[in-house]
Amino acid sequence: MIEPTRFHTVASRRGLSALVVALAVAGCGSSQGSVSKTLTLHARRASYTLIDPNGPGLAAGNSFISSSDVAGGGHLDAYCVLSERRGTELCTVTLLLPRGQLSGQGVFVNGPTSSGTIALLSGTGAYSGAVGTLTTSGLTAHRETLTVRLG
Amino acid sequence: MVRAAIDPAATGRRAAHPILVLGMASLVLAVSGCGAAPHTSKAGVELATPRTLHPNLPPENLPPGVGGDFTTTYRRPGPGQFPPGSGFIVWNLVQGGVAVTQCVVARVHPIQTFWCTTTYSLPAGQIDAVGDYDNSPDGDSGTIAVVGGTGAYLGARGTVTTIDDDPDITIHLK
Repeated sequence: MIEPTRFHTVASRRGLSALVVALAVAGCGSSQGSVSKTLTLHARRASYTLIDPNGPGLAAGNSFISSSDVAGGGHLDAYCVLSERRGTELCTVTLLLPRGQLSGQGVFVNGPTSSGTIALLSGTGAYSGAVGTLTTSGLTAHRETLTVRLG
Repeated sequence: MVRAAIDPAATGRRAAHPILVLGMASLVLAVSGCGAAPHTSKAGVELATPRTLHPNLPPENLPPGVGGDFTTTYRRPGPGQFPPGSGFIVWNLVQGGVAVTQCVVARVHPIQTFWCTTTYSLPAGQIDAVGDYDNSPDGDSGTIAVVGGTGAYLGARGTVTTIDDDPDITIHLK
């Protein structure tokens, strides 16, 4: 049960034990991040919240945070800040999969669709030290296809 | 499993939450002696890799901003409420530097997840980490990824881990 007065720092090991991803990611366990792998994931948006201290809507300086469930287990959380340039968003994304996390950062220039490719900077667990790219069909869409390229 | 409050007002005591620890750890940085063969980084600083740093919680009952945490929450409709989009930023003076953490709640159902980013600004450089936490009741402590750094930590990769209620934070650098 969620206790709103408290944050509980728990991360991915629950997923490690409880979830199965129907993806061939076994080769990623080298923890070197040097093995080339491509994962195709499908996600469905579970939560989207606009943070609008600078006025309603997609005003510069506002931000949003979204969370999507990944089919097969895991989720994707994205936090984006809207820039003065139309449709341009700086986003930090973490993909939490049963075997670990992947975090990336980059700019999308077609907001509010927010599709494109950003850099994966690092990871944990089986993805420790991994680098690569994350391509999304639309970060804010109700249904999203994610392509993770490692190595 | 890690459970600790981040809301001193709600709990009546200073926060000792491991996530806050990411930002407010008093870093006992025994960097030397943790690694293998040293080499020279692009910044010209001698590195020893891999290294494991063990920051600790600051002593309790220190004034905010002196050695303890200083937390600002935002978008909270009321005490103890953290809906999606709410969050906090916390900074802490640490020995020789500062640590800053920002977290934003991403969702609350079926589990509460929150996105966090942390920068440890240390005498030898900065270490940046980004990742996701949730409050799964059967989960474990949190591990997020080190995504980079400056100075002695230029190009750093690794992990930042909190273990249960252990006051230590482990920063493992590859």
